[in-house]
Amino acid sequence: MANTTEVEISKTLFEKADKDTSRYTAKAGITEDVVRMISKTKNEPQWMLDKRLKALALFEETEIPTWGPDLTQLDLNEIVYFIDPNAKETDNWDEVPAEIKNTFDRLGIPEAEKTVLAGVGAQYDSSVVYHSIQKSLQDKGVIFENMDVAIQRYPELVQKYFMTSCIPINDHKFIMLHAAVWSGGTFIYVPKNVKVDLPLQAYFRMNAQKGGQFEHTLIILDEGAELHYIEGCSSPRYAQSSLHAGCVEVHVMKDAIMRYTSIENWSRNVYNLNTKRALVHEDAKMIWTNGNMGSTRTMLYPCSVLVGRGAKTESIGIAFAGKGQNQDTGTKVIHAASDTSSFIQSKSISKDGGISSYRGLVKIIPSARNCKSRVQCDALMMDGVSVSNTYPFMKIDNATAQVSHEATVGKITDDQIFYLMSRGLNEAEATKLIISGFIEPIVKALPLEYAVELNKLIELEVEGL
Amino acid sequence: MIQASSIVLSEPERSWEKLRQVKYGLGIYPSFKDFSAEKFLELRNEFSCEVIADVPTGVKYYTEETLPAELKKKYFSKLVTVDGKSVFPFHYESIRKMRLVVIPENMRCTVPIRLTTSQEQGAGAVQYIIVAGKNSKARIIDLLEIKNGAYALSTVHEMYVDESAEVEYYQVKQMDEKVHHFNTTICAVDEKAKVATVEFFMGGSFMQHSYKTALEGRLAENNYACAFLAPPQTEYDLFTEAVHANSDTKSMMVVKGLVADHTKVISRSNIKIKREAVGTQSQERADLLLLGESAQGEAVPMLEVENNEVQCSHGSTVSKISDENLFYLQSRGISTEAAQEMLSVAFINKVIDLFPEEIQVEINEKMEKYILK
Repeated sequence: MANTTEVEISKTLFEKADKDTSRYTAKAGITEDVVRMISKTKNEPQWMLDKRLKALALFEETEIPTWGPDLTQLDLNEIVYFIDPNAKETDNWDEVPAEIKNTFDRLGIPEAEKTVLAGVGAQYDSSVVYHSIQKSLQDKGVIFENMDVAIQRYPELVQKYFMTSCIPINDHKFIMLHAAVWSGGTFIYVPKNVKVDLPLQAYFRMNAQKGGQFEHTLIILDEGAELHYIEGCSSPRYAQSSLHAGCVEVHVMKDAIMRYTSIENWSRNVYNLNTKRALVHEDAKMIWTNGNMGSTRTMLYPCSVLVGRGAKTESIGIAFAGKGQNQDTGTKVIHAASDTSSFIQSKSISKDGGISSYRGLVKIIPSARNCKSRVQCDALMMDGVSVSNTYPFMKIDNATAQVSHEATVGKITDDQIFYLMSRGLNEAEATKLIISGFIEPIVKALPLEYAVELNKLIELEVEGL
Repeated sequence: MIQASSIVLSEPERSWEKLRQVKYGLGIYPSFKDFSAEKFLELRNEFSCEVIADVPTGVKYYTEETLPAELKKKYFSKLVTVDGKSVFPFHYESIRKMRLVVIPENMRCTVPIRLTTSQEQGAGAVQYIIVAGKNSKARIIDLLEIKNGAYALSTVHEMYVDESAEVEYYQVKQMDEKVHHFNTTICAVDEKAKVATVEFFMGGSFMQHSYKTALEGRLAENNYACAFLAPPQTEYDLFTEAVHANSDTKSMMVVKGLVADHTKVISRSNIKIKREAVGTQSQERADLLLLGESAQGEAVPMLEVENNEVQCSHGSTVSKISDENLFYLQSRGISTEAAQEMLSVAFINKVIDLFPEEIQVEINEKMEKYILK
């Protein structure tokens, strides 16, 4: 499969690092001083500092989890927990420093904005440097703000929802770390019955060497609101281990519909230990779409907690594990109310000794009646040295439930290749076409430009560039 | 991991204590009620269990008294990887009975080998070893009954299936209400050999059951089907595993179970395909039917695949009796209870049908008694 001429994008474009112009970089490692300094720099209210310090204390007394991929190479003392770039927040593209603009240009952000996207919040290192929102959204009362700014402007909203009911600060080791050192991210509030027609998106970038990325995304959809949020990640390639421990909290109120799409393409040395969770209320719907490529270890389990009667969730995801990668992903659904339903579809591709694992959970609590859940996992193995694992957990504590799980593991068969080759394709083209077909359900769920990007990225990975 | 022979046999109370602390599956601790170390020693002394064997001529049969030392050295606990945290310390300290059945090379048995075990009282352990020589063929019927006077029984079955041998193994277990039972079955299947196991068990208050097959030779095959009836207020922890260690091996595992009200069942199954096991076909399926509002079922079908020349899939469901099916039967004049009973029996019948006919009759009788209760 050496045919590379048709690939138009090259990975070096995404992974070329800019010169580090950060104004302030904290020393590597985490201490109380670092946490106090972060809070002071951002001029945060006292309750936030208290929350950070409490989380830090919890973090220090908790062990690194050992049940999943091997994290022994991750040295938490080597990581820089806060970097403030040399640029102030602006909503005018011309004011963004040229070097930073370069990086974004390579990622295609301005074009994307000019065409269909409603707003762009791009994270450069730890602060959002460019953030724009179309006027029509503001008129509707939609808040689309940098998380740091939101704390100052909407303190009641943030205090009520920030790491409280959805993801508490003691959830797990990396959430404790996140709560202590988080910075940047996005805050979105969509008022009652407001439907945001165009997708909102944020493009995260990690640039400084050993730079940690601890962005916090908090989305609140009020009753009957609708939103599609897109998050994409790309990171420059660096030699030393980097850590991404972001956190996404979504509150989907009664009758609201939320679609959360993320394509994560971290460079091969990043530990991607992200936490995403949604609280889904009565008759509301939460749709997760995930693409995980890149990074050395990924542990990402988007979770929907169905707390209202008739709540629904869907999750579709794809993971690609290449050489030296361990993609440990899956979806968690907790049916905590009656008449709730969930559908999970997961696809994975492993190649060159990569390990891809599906680790999911469907839990139905004793008082939740008539819940339905279906889980489907398909794994494609490109060679004989890769590994594919499936660990689906189903805990059903109510007898009125209907739960099913199906999984398959296999390779591209010679029959399939032969069929396409007999119609004039060469082997590389045939392989690509079959893979495109395999990931189609996920690609279909993405907006056009992301679909094209995902297809290209997968092609690139499969060809081993 | 420690060897069976190195287990210290001088502290029986501790092994019992350990057993209580073992967390099964995803969180079942056996709830040994009114437990005390003294009581355990007493129970061990009281242990009374009878194993009767009926073997066709030509098949060699040994008990713990007649077992030659060299055979014991060759086969005893060679397949078990003893783990100090599980049932094994208790098992190896409490073994009172041992049975070895050797089917000689090239012997094609026409009459089944029958093993009947019945425990009257106390707590203890029994080990069964079955060796099927090259190119032999045998059918084994293993019946176990644990009566109410008994407290706990641990059994380990080791099966060595040599090159081109074929073994059909049928096991029926019936446990009375207050009984705790631990079972470990391990098969090693050599080149071109086949093992087909069909199991049915019901009753008891706590059951831990594990069935592992290691497909070690090329073209080895494993077929496993298991049906169970977990009555009200019991806990079952089941684990089935197929390890494909060589190329062109095949495996099919099916578990179907009925879970009564206030009962918790964990069914885990794993397919492990090693790198050298190319051309493997493997499937697993686990279905649990919840029969009461407070029934709890957990299904964890796992796959660990290390090469791509495989066809491998698994599926599992946890559900209640379908309202549609129930309505269909009711609309034909059948009462709700009778309809539920019919549908429950039908759910596990696919497995029951695999038993020889005379055993099917026996199982149906036993089940009727239980369901009527």
